[in-house]
Amino acid sequence: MTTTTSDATTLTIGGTTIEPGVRRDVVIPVLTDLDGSEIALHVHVVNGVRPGPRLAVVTVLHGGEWAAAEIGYSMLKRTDPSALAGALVVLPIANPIAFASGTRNIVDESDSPDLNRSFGGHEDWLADQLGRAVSDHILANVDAVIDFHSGLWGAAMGSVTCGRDYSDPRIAQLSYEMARAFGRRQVRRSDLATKFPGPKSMVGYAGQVCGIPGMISEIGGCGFGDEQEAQWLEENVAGVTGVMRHLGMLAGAPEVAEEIVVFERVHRVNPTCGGMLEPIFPVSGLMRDIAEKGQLLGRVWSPYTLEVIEELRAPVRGLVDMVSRPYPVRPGDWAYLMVDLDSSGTRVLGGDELP
Amino acid sequence: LSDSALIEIGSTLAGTRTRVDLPVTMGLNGQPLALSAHVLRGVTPGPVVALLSTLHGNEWFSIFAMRRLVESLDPQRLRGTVIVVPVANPPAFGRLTRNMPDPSDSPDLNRVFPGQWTWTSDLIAATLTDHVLRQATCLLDFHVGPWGHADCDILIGDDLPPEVAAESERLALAFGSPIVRRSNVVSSFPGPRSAIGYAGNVLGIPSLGVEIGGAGFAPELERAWIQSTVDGVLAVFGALEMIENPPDPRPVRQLVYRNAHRVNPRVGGWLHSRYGGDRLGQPVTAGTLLGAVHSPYTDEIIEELRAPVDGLLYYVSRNYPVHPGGWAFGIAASDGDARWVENPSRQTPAEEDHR
Repeated sequence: MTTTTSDATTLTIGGTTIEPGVRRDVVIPVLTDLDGSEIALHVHVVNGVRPGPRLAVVTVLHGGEWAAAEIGYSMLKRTDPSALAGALVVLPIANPIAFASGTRNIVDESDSPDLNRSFGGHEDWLADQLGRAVSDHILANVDAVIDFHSGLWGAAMGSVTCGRDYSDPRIAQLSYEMARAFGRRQVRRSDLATKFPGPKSMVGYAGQVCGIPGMISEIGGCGFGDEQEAQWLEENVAGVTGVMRHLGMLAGAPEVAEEIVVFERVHRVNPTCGGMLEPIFPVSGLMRDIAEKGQLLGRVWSPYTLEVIEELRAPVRGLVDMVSRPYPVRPGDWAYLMVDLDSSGTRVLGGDELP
Repeated sequence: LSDSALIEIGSTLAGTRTRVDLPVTMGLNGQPLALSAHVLRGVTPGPVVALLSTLHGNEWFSIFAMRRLVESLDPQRLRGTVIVVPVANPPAFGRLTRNMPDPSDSPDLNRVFPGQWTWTSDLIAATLTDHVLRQATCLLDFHVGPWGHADCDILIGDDLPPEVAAESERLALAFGSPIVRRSNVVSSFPGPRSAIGYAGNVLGIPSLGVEIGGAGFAPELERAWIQSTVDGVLAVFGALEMIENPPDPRPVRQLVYRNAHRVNPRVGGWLHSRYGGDRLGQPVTAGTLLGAVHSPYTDEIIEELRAPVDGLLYYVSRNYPVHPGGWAFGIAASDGDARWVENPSRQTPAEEDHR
C-alpha cells in the first residue's frame, strides 16, 4: 500500500502534505495490538525551501538500541528548513513494540521477531506489518536512507557500513559515497543483498529492492557515562551532516578522511558461555588502537564461582570495532568485534577513491 | 555459632575459603538449580554474616563487590564467618529481569521469605533461609540499581524488635552510607517476607538492605560505588570485631530518616535527568525540577518530575526510557522524623545544614 505522492518540493507522507519550508510531524497508523494499543509510526519531516534529495534517518529498528533516537531529534533541531534543499525525514522509533519491551526483537511467537530481518515480508506478523509501513511510507518517499544501530546497554561499536553487492552497482557506489561522507576513517562494505539476512534488512531492502542508496551507522553504545555518550552522539550528528552536504541538502562539503580503511569482514569475539564480562581492551581504543593477534581483549568470570571461565582474545591483528563495559553476558552476547587488517578484503583507499 | 551449624553449609575448615553448592530443585531444562555460596571461615569463632546479592535478577551490579570481597578477605585474619551468595536468584539473573519469569504467585523472590510454597521463588527462599539465614547472626542484602539508575542508602527495619532495630542502625551507620532509612519492613508491604524483614523480625538478627550504586554510569562513578560497598562491608565487619583495622567510611554526618518519597513517572517515555549519578546523596529543596519525561515519539515533554519535599537524593537516574512507575528519583525527607548523626572522628559539618 503506497499512499504517498510527491513532486519536486512538496512532500506528501502518510496522507499529510508538507509544503516547502515547513516542519511537520505525521502519525501513520500501522496496527492494533492485543492490549488495545494503536501502534503507529511517528514521522518528523523538515521540508526544505529548495528542491533536493530526501534523506531518511531511521532509528530503533531494534528496540534495545534506543539511544540512537537522540540522533534523529538532534538533527531535527539543527536543521533549518530555510537552509535546506530537499527533505529530512526522521523516524525516531521504528519499532515501538520492541522499544516498549526494551528488547532487540519483538517478543512474540512469530517467524519474524526481528524487524530488521523482515523487510519485504508478506505475512502479517507484527514485524512484517511494521516493515511494510516503513517501506510504503518512508522508503517510497526518499532518495537515500541512514539506519542507526547503536545504544545497546553494555557494548559500543565504532564503524559505518554500506552494501556492496546490489544488483545495480550504481547503488553500491552511491552508498559508499554516503558512508565516506559520514567522515569516518573506516568503512565496512558488506553483502547486504545476497548474504544473511538477504535483502531483508532495511538498508539491504532499500538498496536491492527499492533502488535507494543507504548506509548504517553503528557508532556508540550505552552505559559508558554522559561524556563518552555525548561524544558519540556528536560524531553521529556530524556524520549525518556530512552526508547531507554530500547529497547537496546543506551548503558546504563534507569532511572526508584522507585515507579510509575499507573492510569487508569482521570477526566477532563473543563469549561462548554466560558470565560477567571484564573488559581489558579500553573503550578509548575503539576503532583507533590496533590489537595484535592473540591479544587479550576481555575475560568472562562466573558470577557463581567467581573464577575466570573464558578469555576473549583477538583472532586476528586489527582494529577493534566493538568494545564493552563490565556487564553480564549470555553465551554469544556482544563483547568485541575485530577488523582484520591483514585480510585480502581490507584495503586502504584515498579519500577521493572509490572501491 | 556452633561449628556443627556450618557443617550443613559445607565441610569448611577454620581459616579457609570454600565454595558450596546449595541444591534447590530441578528445572524444566533438565538442569539442577543450585545456589553458589562462598564460605569464608575465620580462625576463631565469631559472628556469621550473610551477604546476599542479586535477589532481584536485574540488580547485578553488587556482584562486582561480592567478588572483590571474597577474593580480598583473608580467612586467616578473620574472626567469625562470612557467607557470600553472589547470585541469589539465578533464574531471574539469567534473564536479567527483576522477578522470576514464571506464571506463579511468587514472582518476586524478595517477597516470599521464608519460602512457604513450591514455586521456584519459594524454593530458593527456603534454601536461603535454611542454609544461610538460620546460621547467620547478621544479614546484608544488596539491592542496587539496574541499568539506568543508582542508589545510595541503607534500609533497616523500624518495626523490628527494639534491640534488633538498634543493632541494625548501629551497623548501618558503620557502613558509612550518608543516608539510612528506617522503614516498616514488618508491618507494611511486603510484610516480613523480604529477606531483611524476615531475618530481622522472625530470626531476630540485625539486617541491612544495602543499596549503593547502579549500572550504566561513568566508569569512575561505578568504581567509586563498588569501592564504597567494599569499604562499607569491611566497616561492618569491623563494628562486629571480625577484622582488625577496618576502614571508617562514615561521612561527617549521616541522615537517618523515615519518610521516603519516590518521584517516578506516571507515564512511559524518555527520562531526561537533571540529577544523574554524580548528584547522589545531595540535598534538594521542594519543587526542584529533577527531570522530565519526553515522548520518544514526539520529543515533547509529557511530564515533569519535581521534588515534593526538602531532602537528600537517595536514588537518581540517567537519561533512559522508563515505563510508568519506573525508577527515576527518590528523596529522603529531612523532616521532623529525620535526624542527623554526627561522626565525631571527622570535621565539623560544613555550613550548609539541611536539618
